Amino acid sequence: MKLLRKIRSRLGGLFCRSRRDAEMEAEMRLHLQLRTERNLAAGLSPEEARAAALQAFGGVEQLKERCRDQWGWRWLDEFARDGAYAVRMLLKSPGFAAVAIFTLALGIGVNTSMFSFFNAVIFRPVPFAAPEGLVRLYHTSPRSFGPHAPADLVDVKAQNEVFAKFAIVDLPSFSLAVPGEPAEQVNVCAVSGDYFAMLGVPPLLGRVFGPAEDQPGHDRVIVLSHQYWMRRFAGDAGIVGRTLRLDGEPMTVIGVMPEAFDYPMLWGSSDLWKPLAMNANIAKVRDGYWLQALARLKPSVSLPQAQANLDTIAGRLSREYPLTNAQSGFYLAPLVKSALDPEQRFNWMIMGLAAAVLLIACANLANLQLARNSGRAREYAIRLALGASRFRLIRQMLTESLVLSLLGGAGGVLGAWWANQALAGRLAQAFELPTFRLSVDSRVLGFALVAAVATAALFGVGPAWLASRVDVNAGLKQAGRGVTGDRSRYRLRQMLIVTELSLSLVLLAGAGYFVHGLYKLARRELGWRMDHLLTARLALPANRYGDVEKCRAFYERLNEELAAVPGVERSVVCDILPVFGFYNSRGVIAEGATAPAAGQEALADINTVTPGYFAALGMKILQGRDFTATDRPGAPAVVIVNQTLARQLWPHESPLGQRIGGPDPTHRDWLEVVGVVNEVGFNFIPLPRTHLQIYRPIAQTGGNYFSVVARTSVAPESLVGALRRAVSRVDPDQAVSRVVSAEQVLALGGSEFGILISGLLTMAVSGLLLSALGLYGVIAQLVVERTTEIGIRIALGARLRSVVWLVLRQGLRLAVVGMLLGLAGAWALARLLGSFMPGIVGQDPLVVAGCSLLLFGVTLLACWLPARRAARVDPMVALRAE
Amino acid sequence: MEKTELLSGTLDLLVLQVLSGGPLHGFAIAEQIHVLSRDVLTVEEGSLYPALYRMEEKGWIEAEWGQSEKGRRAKFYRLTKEGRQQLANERQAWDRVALAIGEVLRNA
Repeated sequence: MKLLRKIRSRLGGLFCRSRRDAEMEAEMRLHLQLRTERNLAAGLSPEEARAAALQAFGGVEQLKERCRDQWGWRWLDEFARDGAYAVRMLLKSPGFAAVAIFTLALGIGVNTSMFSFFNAVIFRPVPFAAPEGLVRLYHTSPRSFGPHAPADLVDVKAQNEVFAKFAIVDLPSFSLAVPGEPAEQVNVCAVSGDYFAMLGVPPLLGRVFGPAEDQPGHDRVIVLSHQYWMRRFAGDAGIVGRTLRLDGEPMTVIGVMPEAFDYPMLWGSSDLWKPLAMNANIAKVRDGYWLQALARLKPSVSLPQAQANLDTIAGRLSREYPLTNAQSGFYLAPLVKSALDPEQRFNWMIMGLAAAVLLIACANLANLQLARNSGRAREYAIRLALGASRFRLIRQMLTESLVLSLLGGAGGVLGAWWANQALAGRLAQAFELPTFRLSVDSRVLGFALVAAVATAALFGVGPAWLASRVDVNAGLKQAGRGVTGDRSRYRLRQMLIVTELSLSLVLLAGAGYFVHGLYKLARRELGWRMDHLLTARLALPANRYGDVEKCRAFYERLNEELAAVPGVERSVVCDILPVFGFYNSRGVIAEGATAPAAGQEALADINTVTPGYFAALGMKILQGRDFTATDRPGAPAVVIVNQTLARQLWPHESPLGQRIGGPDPTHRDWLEVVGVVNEVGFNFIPLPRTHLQIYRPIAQTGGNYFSVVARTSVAPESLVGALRRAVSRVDPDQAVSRVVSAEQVLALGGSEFGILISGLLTMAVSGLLLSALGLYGVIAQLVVERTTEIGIRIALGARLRSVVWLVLRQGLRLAVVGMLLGLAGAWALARLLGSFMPGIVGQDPLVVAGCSLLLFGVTLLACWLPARRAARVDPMVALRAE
Repeated sequence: MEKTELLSGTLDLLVLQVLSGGPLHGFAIAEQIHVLSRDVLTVEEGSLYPALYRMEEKGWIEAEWGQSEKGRRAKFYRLTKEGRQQLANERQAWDRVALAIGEVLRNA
């Protein structure tokens, strides 16, 4: 009851102001009247009686204000009034409002869009139970950071004291066939027994794997992902219990996971899960790295404790197996953070650059406010003279800032929403997902709100504080000019402009580094021709292609079928097309040379190929011969090496006829060199882990996973169907995936760079635009303030050129100082970026010079426009205005 | 006439006490206090009205427009139930303090 009355009274205070004010007025008038009557009765004259009553009463207006204070929620009431006032003021100067809101919308929009990306990728809730306890385990070595060898994981699982649950994950692809339908390639996530129990998500339908189902022989069960179940089986509820053929093996569907369990941030989207049954041979492999690992920490164990335990295990392994583990280690990262960039540095850098755009926007706004406040100094002086407190004045100005930045924030959210539509499509492509959800959810809106409020505080407080220091006497006496502390205000405005210019140079340089770095990379001579190549991935199921001979027959028939297709000049099979590097590498030593210490052998990338590979790729055979049909199992084991390796291992002798071997002293596996080819380079990888490359005939090594590559005389994209038909002529059950041209492989793999570059360019252009706008504003204001002076100068005979120079000089001085600071920032940024992407981004004087020139040109333009106006000042008008 | 400042915190007590006799308008409240204190205490308008608004806000008193003795419209304040309770509390507190101060003055 009491509360209700209170609320009613307060709301009454808010909304029935005028009525309550009138009542207060009436009450006090009566009081004065009664007091006057009393004084009259005491014998005073009417004038004296009234005066005495008024005197006793004190300041009526102040009293009213103090009474209003008692109504409570006064601040809210005043805030509403200030807000309404701010809106009125903005409507009065629509030009200022438009520029300010646009500036803020740009700054907040860029940041909101960036944030929604991070929100979707990093802050996206992990759909697993108690995700804070989940960690991802990486294998580290001086050359790599990533997947593990099976034997290492078996040891970690057995020896660790810190994990409550531990799961091993393999990500192969399989041909999946529904009986009676053509086979298709599916992304499989093969997981060890603990996986589902560790993640703690119950299935939508059926069940998940039991503990014994990761043993060989019991592993013919699969669990479907929601998206695959919907896509392939249209959400058929009767799917559980059905049998599908995975690589020809019958597999029983035992469950379907819920939609939320699709979490592509870890390792892309999976179509289905199957048990990871490692046979004894694979479990012993220590020199091949392809497995992923996830673990759940024991409740009492912290991340550093777990890391320490793994370091101990890594130390033990490196002593036991120096050949493979000498310099290996393990790195633990919380699953929540590990999705994209386990070390997070890159994310922070991008967010930092986005924040720089917002800072520039803030500096601009602060400048605009300063300029506006100098025009309103008289208004402030009057308000202060009428008894407004400084605090009250500042608060009112901050309310104006807040109204502005909330409007700008709304514009920014709209802009971000629009940008996200465009970004989502490209992200889906980069992550190889059907769709990528980049939503503006409550968290993104919250971020935009916080950014808007913080922006208001950042650009509002300084100008408001300065404006409130107005000298009341001077302000009321004079007619507008020189009312506030002009000098300090001008100094502040200069500092803001200098900051803006330096930040924009840093932004420009940041984008420039990437663009130029990638341009240089793209222009590099790679040593092979990427045009007119059509490629596809194939995975021959081990049950039907169990030995080298069966595989070899398949390659040969496929090459024949494909070469017969009109438009195909040549068809070859290889382990991998070297667009982004090779899959495999191994240590090599030269026969007869002293063997280096274990682990110190020269590392060579290795590819396995069919004859004709070098010709198909446009490589050069510099010495010796290509592989031929006679290089088959039983014939001498042969190898073709690149020139770099030949020069390094045999600087003075012919490499032909020499032999190279592996790192294992008991098992060298000598290979005879029959040819030397040129080195091939990879796209986007300026510093490969090694420049040594060797090639083996795939006929001697076998291999169930490979690429088929066709050199075409027509557009390779036009032969996609022909390639698929050629494969099915060889084996109708065989699926083909990723039938694309080499250039498309490059475009797909490079799409992340494309996104990065367009993001950076957007930021750089926004920054440049904003700081040019800011500089223009400051110089234009300067011209307005000095109109009289310029008029006098012209009247006294100053030349046009000297007037232009007078104005230009002011702006250029700021530009030069800003750019000097910016150069330092650009240098630091290059160092930082260089550590993320060595070889792609580094100190780049050309880019810095170009960006400086661009910035200088833009500032020149921004100063020249007002300077020209200054030169056109009519001295008579200027002097009369005084 | 010598003016005596009101002890801080006692204005509420006096206003509530005066109102316990029946509804009064602002001027009458000030008058009553003045008269009842034998012209010793003067309530400044600058203190009275904010206090009245505050107590109204707290729900100790409520206001109603009515006719004053000379037929003029005036805002009459009246004690509420909570106001009566508050008056009892404040009187008790005052008695305790007065007693304590008296003790000190007598014995020190």
